[in-house]
Amino acid sequence: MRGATLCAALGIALGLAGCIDAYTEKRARPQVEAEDASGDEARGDSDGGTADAGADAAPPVGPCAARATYPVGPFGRGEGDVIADLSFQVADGAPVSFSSARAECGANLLLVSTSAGWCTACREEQPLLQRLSEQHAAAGLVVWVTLFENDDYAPATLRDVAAWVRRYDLTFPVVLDAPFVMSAYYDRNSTPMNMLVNLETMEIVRIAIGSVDSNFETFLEANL
Amino acid sequence: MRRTGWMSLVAALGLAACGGSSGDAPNGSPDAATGGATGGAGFGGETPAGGVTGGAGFGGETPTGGTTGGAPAGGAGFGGETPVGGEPGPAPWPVDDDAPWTPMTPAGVAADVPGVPESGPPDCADTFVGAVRGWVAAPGGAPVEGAKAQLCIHLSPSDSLLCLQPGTTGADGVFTINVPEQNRCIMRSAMRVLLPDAGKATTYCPVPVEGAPSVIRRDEPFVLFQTKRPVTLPPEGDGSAREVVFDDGLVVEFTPSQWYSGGGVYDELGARRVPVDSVGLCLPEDAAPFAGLYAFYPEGAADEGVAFPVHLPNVDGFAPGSQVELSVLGGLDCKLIDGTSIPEATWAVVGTATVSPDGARIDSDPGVGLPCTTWLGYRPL
Repeated sequence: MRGATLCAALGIALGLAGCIDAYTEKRARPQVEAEDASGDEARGDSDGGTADAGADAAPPVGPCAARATYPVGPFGRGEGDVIADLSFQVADGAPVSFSSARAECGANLLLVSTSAGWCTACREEQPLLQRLSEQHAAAGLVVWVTLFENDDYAPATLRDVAAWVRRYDLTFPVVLDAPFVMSAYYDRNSTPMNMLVNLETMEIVRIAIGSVDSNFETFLEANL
Repeated sequence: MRRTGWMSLVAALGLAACGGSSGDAPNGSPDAATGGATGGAGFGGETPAGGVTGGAGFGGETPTGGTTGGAPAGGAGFGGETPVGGEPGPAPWPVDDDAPWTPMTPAGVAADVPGVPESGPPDCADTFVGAVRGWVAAPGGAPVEGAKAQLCIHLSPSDSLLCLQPGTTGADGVFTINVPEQNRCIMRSAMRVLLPDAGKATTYCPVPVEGAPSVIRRDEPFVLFQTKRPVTLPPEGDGSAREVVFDDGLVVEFTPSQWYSGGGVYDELGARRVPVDSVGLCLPEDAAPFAGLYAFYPEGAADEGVAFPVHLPNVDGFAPGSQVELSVLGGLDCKLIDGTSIPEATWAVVGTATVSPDGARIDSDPGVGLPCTTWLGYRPL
């Protein structure tokens, strides 16, 4: 996924909606004493996600230039905190990062859902996530699934990611999180976790444990 | 039929009815049999390329060809030997001892679970559960170390589904699953138990929570049954169905490209017939007992709208032309052919099968089959 390409394509598709200066329009929010998420998180090697900055994402152009720079820290892990620019890989090995999602012109809310092969709740949730993606894409919703383990509790691989995409016929990014970087943001004993991130501010606006329910969906729609 | 542990507390298991639907079972169709066997375990009377002659059994013989699909001539088996002109097959799995046995619950099951209060907050309208403890054994009672015991729960009051990280069994086979403090008000739950990469069938059991204490203990074991590798496993090849033949006469018309397993692969397929009175089974209580039961490995599911035809040996002596009802156990992503999900640990009827005219086998009816490689049970109609 390349930020400039997506930005241009989405900008046309969405009539450049939301392609305003993120910083002049940025709403005020309380400064949170946030913990730096990039410091002690588990880090992957060649086959998983990392918490490194998304240096591979192409810089956005045109009306999305205001999003060329990722918000500076302090980063944190809770609701109200700014999330670090985590980077992962999609099924073909290409890098993606939160900054690349942010660079999509018109995108204003990121839903990150953690999944594992052994997680029945996650599997049941995939069609719902696809529906949400389709239903709210025009309003700026971007959906990502992070896959961290397979059916047998072994770290997921790019092959698992590809099979997951095929199995559920997903059109949004499914990314590999073999080192389970996302576990730093919730109680890793419970899966799935659904997180909403404001793509202008990169502020975590909601962390919910369990499959998407009506309350979460209502909250999501209210934040688009 | 023996029912064990907390199964006795389960009031009901949903049995979703599902009649046959459109679609033809590809028995005997030109593309149905890319492999097979003549002899004890075969089906269909065809002699496949790279197939085998001989009966069922394990190892000790020289395969006549093939690699992963090769099997010994004159005996059964798949694995552990070096086929002529092929690659070594996978190592054989051990064989279960099916002799009757009496479970001896390890002391660790009754041990204290620290940090779990006896009761929950007053605003919990359902059941407060802080931990689940149990044990895992092989047939015969030997504890299984390293098994994973996983709990999925429906939270109260949202009904949101959540799966917890598994507990891992110790040397005594005992596991403990601690339920996170904020997720202890539970409407219902189910357990999934497996030993990764061991050829043992994954098992599922409901966990009855209504009226349960804050620490749920199961005295009866979860039993992991060792499956057997097939006698004939044709190469994965193209997207057409092929007959996967087992030594007890079970045949599955399997299409690898229409099957998804997030952990296993086609080459690892295994199955076995399990005595219906075995210790540790989680069987439906609100229906007639099964006459026969099969366990599969690795767990996986067919694509939506797909079910793999099955052929079972008629060891029960059902009359030719008579019918049986086939049921499967819900697991990861298991669905009826109409797309209806089969919840974890729930048995669902998938359709009917008919005893062949010669009385030798029971063939799934057109449009009926195995939607997931978990467990299959059948009972006469």
